[in-house]
Amino acid sequence: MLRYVANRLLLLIPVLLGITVLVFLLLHLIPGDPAVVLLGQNATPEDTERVQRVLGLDKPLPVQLGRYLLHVFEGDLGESIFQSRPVTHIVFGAMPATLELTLFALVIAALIGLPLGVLAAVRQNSVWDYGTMLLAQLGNSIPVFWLGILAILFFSVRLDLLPTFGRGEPLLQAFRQAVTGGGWGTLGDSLQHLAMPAVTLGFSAAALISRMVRASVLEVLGQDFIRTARAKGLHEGAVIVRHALRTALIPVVTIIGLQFGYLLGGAVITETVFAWPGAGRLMITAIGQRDFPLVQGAVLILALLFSLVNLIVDILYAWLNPQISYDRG
Amino acid sequence: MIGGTIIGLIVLSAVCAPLLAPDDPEKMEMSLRLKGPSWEHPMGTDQFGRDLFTRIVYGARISLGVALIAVALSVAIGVTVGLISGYYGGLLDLLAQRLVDIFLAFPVLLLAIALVAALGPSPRNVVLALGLVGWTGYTRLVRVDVMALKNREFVQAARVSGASDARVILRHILPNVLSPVLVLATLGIGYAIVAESGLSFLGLGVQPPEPSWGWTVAFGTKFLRSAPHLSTFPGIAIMVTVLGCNLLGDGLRDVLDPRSRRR
Repeated sequence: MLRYVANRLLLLIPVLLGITVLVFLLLHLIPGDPAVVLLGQNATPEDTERVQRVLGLDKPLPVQLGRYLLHVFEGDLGESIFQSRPVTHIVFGAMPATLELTLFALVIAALIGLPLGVLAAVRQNSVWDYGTMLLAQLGNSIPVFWLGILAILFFSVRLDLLPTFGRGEPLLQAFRQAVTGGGWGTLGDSLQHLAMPAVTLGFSAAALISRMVRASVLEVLGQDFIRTARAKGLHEGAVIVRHALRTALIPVVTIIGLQFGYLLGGAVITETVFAWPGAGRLMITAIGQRDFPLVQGAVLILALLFSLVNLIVDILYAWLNPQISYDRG
Repeated sequence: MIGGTIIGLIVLSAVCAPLLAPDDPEKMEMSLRLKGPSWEHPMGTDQFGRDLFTRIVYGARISLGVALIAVALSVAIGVTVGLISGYYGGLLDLLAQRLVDIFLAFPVLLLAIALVAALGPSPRNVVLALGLVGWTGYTRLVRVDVMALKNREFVQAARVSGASDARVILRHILPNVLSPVLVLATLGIGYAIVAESGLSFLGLGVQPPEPSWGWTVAFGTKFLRSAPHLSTFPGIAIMVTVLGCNLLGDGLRDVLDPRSRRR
């Protein structure tokens, strides 16, 4: 197992290097002189020169790349043009909000997707099955921004139940406040702010999870050991819970884990719809301000996080599944 | 069947847009601004008094056009890399697979947003961005099939009879790997429509006054209380089109690859 983990970590190194090079090259895709494009046509030559210096554009490309890689290795992603603060401070400042939203969306997706998938498989070709599959198709087809707007229309505009935009107190902070006797109001407010964005973001993941769980459970239910368990006279509930689910849920762990990464990508749009102050919205705002170092920093950090999550999911899957050969990288 | 019918109808309405919606999609009539659905305007009007139905019908041309060209670009890159990587193996394969790993290390939408942010918002750049981020799936699919096919008798017979590598790849291997590619591409068109509308929603895709579905939804958010139809109808158009692509993709998979048929 240790060798497998070491192999996976080794394979991650060229990928991380490649991610960093790709993010570096983004700036050089800007047509024309990036400094002029970032500052606009009315910029003074002094301003242009300053931005060229800040971005290192006055050096040859290989030197720029070398310096960029070195700086990234040291944890220095440069300075925001618009905010004049280190990019890492700004992005890491927004990251807890993104993680809170993504994790909560994942929990909601699992809570909806798992039972629906199991139910659809156990009651195959019933109204539950067709209903779940219809929901899964819809979840797969609804654009997240539109679902968010529908949620706002219904829960905020029509019913006036939930706040439309923004974030309450950070959830952990609100929870700590509540359990230390500071009252439950803040926690309630945080949850109210979180509910719509998290459900919106988690809906398509729930659709995918339910589909995967259904397929996985159906596959397991057709296997010999399930027939043996039934032949032994075990109650159907016990067959499903104690035998089928234990086997069927191993690949589902991977699916749920991988969804975390995809939700990180979807969070960019969800955060924009609900004015959620996370790294995704920060990136979109930075794009609007042509603050490219900040855009690069946000993309790089989100991609690194995505890779790490996928690595953890891979290792977790290998650990859970005894059929995986650890010798294969 | 249902998916094919949905997509057929949408393609037909996009092609026959001038017949279906004879109004000019750019024609403004401020006296009619933000009117709800009626007989004259079945989907209401927008903030400039333009007929929303007309704009949605014409918007189908943009969404489908961008998605089709982007997926064609992804298929072209992905299949080419997959064919070469799978056929030749060795260092070429190793390099190609590391490149795939690097692209897969980004959430797709995030990379597309970053690319469009660098290139500038325009339909052409959306096509480029979506095409460049979507090729990896095709490469993986094709590479595995090519690795299995290249040792089969009919391929070896072609080689022995003196056919060049290019001829073996294009005439003997390529036709045998296209079925799963077609399925993935159909599903990819649905994803590309969602991604294009998402980019347009963020102001990074198709720019006004072009009748983009995503942009219309975004603009409609300013009038959620007074004119909710403005965001609702283009959203339904996106959802139905993507649903059609997904159903068509699933149906094609059932027909072309019976092993994966859902139970």
